[in-house]
Amino acid sequence: MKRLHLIGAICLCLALFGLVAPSPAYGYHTNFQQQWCNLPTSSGFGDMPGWRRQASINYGTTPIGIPPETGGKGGYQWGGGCWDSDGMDDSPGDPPGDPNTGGEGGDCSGFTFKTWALRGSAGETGGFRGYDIYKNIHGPYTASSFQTGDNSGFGPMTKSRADMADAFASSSHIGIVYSRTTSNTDVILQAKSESEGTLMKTETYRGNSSYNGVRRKNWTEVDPGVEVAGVPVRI
Amino acid sequence: MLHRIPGGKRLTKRFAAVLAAMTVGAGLGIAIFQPSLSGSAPQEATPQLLIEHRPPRLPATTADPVVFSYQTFCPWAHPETSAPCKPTGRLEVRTSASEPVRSITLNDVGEGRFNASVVLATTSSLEYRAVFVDENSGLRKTLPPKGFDRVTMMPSTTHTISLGEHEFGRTTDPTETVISGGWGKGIGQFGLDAGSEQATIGPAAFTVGADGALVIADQVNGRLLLKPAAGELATLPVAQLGLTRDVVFDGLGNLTLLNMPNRGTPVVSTLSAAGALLGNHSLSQAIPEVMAVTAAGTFVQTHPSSLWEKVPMPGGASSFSGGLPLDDQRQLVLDASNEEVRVAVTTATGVERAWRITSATTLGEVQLARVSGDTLDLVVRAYAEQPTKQAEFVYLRVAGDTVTKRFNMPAVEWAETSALSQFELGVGGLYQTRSTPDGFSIVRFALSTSDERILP
Repeated sequence: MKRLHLIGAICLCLALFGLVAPSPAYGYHTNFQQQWCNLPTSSGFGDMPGWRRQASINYGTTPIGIPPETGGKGGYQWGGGCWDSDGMDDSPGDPPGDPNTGGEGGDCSGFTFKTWALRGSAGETGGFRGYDIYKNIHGPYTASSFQTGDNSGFGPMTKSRADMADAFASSSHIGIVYSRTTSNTDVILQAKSESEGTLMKTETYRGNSSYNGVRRKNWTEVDPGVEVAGVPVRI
Repeated sequence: MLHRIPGGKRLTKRFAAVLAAMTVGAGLGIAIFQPSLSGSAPQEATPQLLIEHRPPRLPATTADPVVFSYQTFCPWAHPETSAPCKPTGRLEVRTSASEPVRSITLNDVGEGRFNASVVLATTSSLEYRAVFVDENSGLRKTLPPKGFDRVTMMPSTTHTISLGEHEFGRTTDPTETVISGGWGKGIGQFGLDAGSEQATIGPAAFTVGADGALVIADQVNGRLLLKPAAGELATLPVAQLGLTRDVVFDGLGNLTLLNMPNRGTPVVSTLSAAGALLGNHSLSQAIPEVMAVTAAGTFVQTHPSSLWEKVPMPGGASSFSGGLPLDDQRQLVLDASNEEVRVAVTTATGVERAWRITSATTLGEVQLARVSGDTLDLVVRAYAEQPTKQAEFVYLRVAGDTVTKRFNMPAVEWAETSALSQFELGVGGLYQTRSTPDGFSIVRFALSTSDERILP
């Protein structure tokens, strides 16, 4: 009888704890940011004079996981900018539009801000500032300000010339060019939405009139793909 | 201070035992539910190497070398704790599967870019793949991951069609609006996921059945919608497996779905007309572009290889090809750029027929390319950025080198579909999705006299 009481008590506590414990299926406060972000070890890693297109994509693919070919995707957090590299959305189902849900991921503009290593204040001039993936920073720019802005950090560009690590921005969304396809679409690296997360997906933003071309200024190299390959090999 | 009551000691012992049990239970609860409280533990990226490549599938002239360009990436999270990779690459080429492989060193041109150029002097086609090795980690990657891609020279018999300068604003009205509805979750509505700092997402894709019925992947609402040729919109009673990116009818009347699971590569699911699950197949690559059904089976084009992966019969193995297999002998190969669209029907021995569609206006994506006999049906985007941003779609039917039908359609795309899912050819003509802040619709353009009648 006593054993039955003990087992019953354990089961009761398990059940009660299960009911109140927030889980991705039943609640949205996963406290990802509180647990993992802005810790002493996750401060920015300072000026990044060598930040180039490739470095930007190297960094921007981290939310998608290890390796991206296996189909991972990162989280999306409206107003956020902190993620890990496990290729999972650790806080799925957050109510969109609420920056206080504390979930994993950036939103589209926050993700672009960190991936482009822009400086933290609007109007800051020149250079690049790297941010640890666990540094929860969104930056001052919205998709709309990327779409129309021309400042020291980024500016408009012709869409047909957009290449790897350039971006397409509308009034509500921005995504970074990862590669082009034989159908003339683009694989876009983006924090797409709460439901889809941060991922790579083929898109038609290049030709869509809602989107403008945006280029990070001061890239330290010429556009990719312009080099002529060496002496041709005859087959 | 505890008040003494009769039997209090026994109660205290019981209380203590229950308290202990509750403590154990709570501890177990914390252990069991901790992951949902905290998310997963942070992980540092292990060494990895990504390769990107846009295949030069249809070079146009023998005089110009074919340039093979690759971009490598080494994802990392922190420069101090992540060792950058140091890839080297080579191109492996062969003129056919029975010929020996020749290795060509890819030139490292900086920023992770590699390239090589090849002149096809003695052959009109070439099979190739790239092999990269990270010298730091020893990681080895090939692209394509399985098999070889193919370069096929466009023949001298290629039909060249010039679209000239696109005249924006001269669009054709559709024959009918097949279906329309507002945004929402109700019957007759379509799901919308929209807001600031995110994409505006609507229905992902649709397909047209042999009887003119439409099936629409209402991804935001997690449902499939059926619009019978004669009848009202209804929800198909099927359990979905994640976000549905594409949907097609196969030749047997079954529905095939391209689903994105929460984690893992895309899954192709085949359902009977009644909604019963007939089979699942996980694709080998993570980024799907479009799904197609031909006489040769069901195929999905995926990246980074850009190959078409055949969805095998249960128990069978996947196969991969650069072109979309039309039947056992022929493939439809597409190679589109800002300036022109190249389409070829290739065989094992060469090119059966080919087209070059050139344009003075910048071209966007090829939404649709179908070949039947000597006829090509094509839908391609034309867009301009100056003086104002404009985008329209051009429909083209070409028989040989003669354009037999051509008209323009507006791009009405306020909410996203999947990338190449705005158009479908089917009974009754050409179908197009349209979306505005007010709602979603599918319109139909008759392509022949027999299409002119309104479907029942």
